[in-house]
Amino acid sequence: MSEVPVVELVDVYKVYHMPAGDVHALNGVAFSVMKGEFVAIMGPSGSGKSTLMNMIGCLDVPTSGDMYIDGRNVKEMTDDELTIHRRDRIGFIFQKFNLIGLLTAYENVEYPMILKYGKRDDTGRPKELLASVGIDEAKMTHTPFELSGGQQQRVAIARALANDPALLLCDEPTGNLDSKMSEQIMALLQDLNRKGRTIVMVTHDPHTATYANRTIVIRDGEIVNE
Amino acid sequence: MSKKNQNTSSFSKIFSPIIFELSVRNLRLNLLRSMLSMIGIIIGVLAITSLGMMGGAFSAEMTSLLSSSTNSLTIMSVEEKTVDGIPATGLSSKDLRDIEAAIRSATSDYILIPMYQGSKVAKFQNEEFSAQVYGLEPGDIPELVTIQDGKVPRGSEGILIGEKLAEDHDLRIGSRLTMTDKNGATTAVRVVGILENSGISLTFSTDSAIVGTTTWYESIANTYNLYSSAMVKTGNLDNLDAISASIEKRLNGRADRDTDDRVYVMDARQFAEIMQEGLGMVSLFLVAIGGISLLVAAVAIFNVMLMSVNERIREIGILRSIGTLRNQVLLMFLYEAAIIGLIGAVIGGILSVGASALVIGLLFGDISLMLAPSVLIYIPYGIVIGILVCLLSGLYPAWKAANLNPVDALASD
Repeated sequence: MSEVPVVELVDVYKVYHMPAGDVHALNGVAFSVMKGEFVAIMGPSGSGKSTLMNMIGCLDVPTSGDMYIDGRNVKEMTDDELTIHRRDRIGFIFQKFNLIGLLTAYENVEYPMILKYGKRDDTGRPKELLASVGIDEAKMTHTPFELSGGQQQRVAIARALANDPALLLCDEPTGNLDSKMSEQIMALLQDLNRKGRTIVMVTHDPHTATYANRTIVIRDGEIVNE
Repeated sequence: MSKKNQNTSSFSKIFSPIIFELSVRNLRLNLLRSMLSMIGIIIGVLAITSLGMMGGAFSAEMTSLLSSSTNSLTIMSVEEKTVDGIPATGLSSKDLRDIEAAIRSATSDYILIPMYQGSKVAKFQNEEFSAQVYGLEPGDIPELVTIQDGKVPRGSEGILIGEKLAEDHDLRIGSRLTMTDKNGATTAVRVVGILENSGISLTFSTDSAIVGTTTWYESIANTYNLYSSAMVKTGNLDNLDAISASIEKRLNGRADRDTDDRVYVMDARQFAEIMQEGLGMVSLFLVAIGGISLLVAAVAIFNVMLMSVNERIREIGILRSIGTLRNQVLLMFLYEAAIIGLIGAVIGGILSVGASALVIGLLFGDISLMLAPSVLIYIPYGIVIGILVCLLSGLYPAWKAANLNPVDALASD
């Protein structure tokens, strides 16, 4: 029995209908990500890498072509099913951290677990996760605005891991951080990958991409180099 | 295991404590805005509830005045007659015979009571007053009125007076009233009984009236042997329609023609219905005026919620991307509307108790009118309507938030 890819794209097209004319964001993209891989997707801005990222993250669906996640075709999934997939199987790490301002650091990590299990956490997992990314107990009750960029991104990584996702999806994870902090965050991600976590990372920074063990370059909506 | 997860997630679609928590925190974060929306709802609920209660109290007050004896028909002549060369209106003995025959063809369970009715100026201890005067057969008197104190008069000796009339002019049994007789000479008559108050009716109200025998009435007024009206009472209310139809048919001929009618048949129930309807309209009108302020509050909440959604587009995008369902986003905004509605409406409801007590006390001088169930019911009504109005105004903004495209929402600043 051959292994099912975490994500598989087959000849995926994405067209946005804009008032000024159609924008072809993806033009027949095909690739798969297997369990345990650390894939970097590189490309200049406007190359379609954000679209690709949104698609892998189940935030968007192909105009044509097929995308399979855990062997299921996203075309056959409802909005709720895609949402539940994002909740349970994907951990998002954004360039702008995107923590929920109304919640504390601890609650931000707990939130996806509450969504999944319908109750407050009683396993201690949010604390363990926060500790594992280097957020000490005193910082856990802070709101995101009271944390530095690096600390926010650590909390975001802990949140992304909350429901033990099959895939970590990182969109320019170091884009808003200084180089010292970037190194630390990338080391953290590399460590997670070594422990078996599958990671897909979008970046335009060649140095950041070196942490990955496979790099896909995309330009004008097509994969030009793998 | 996976079955269990399915169950918890379907439960969390209905109520999510964390989503509720987000709503509460957002309201607290925008405390001033939340309070202002709440004040709108408080005023709206206060307005509809207290105006409703006022209308209810007015209606209760009026209804208590309505006569309870509605199981009757009153028949009046509409025919121009001439007696001794003088034009007159009234029911002749032939009319009465025809009416009785008509009734008998419909039911045997009836009493037909012909009566004289007019108005007379009476004088007691140098005080003159005008009163409604009825003349009835002595045998019919106990059928129509309840004597509180005293006895039924016989012949032309003695009269009965309504309780209210007695109170208004300090009359008691034995008091002698003077008035003119039919020839213009002064005559005196003694009060022999006081009648219980029975309420207002269009055709027969004795609370402020004088009731005497037909013989006595004929001595004080020219009747030309024509009765003013006749009342039909029946033991079974269901007979009234049949009796009415039978009289109409026999005396007025074709139902679709009202020329050459001999009599007009009035159903006491119609009067009560018209009164009730009118009172209901008054209440409704008052509530509608209050409703305007609630509408203004609804528009304000709608606006605030829409603003809130626009400010939080990015946050909604984050929530959606990390696995918050559309329904949960919808709920988050509906919770906010519901919290504002619940708190505002309950406060408004409580304040309306005080406001109505004040207004009802000033208008009717009797705060206990408020305690009638038909008046108190406006409090829960007002509160529920306030909450519903809030939810309704939150519906579109919540729907808009839930249906944002997560990608676009995430990209907004």
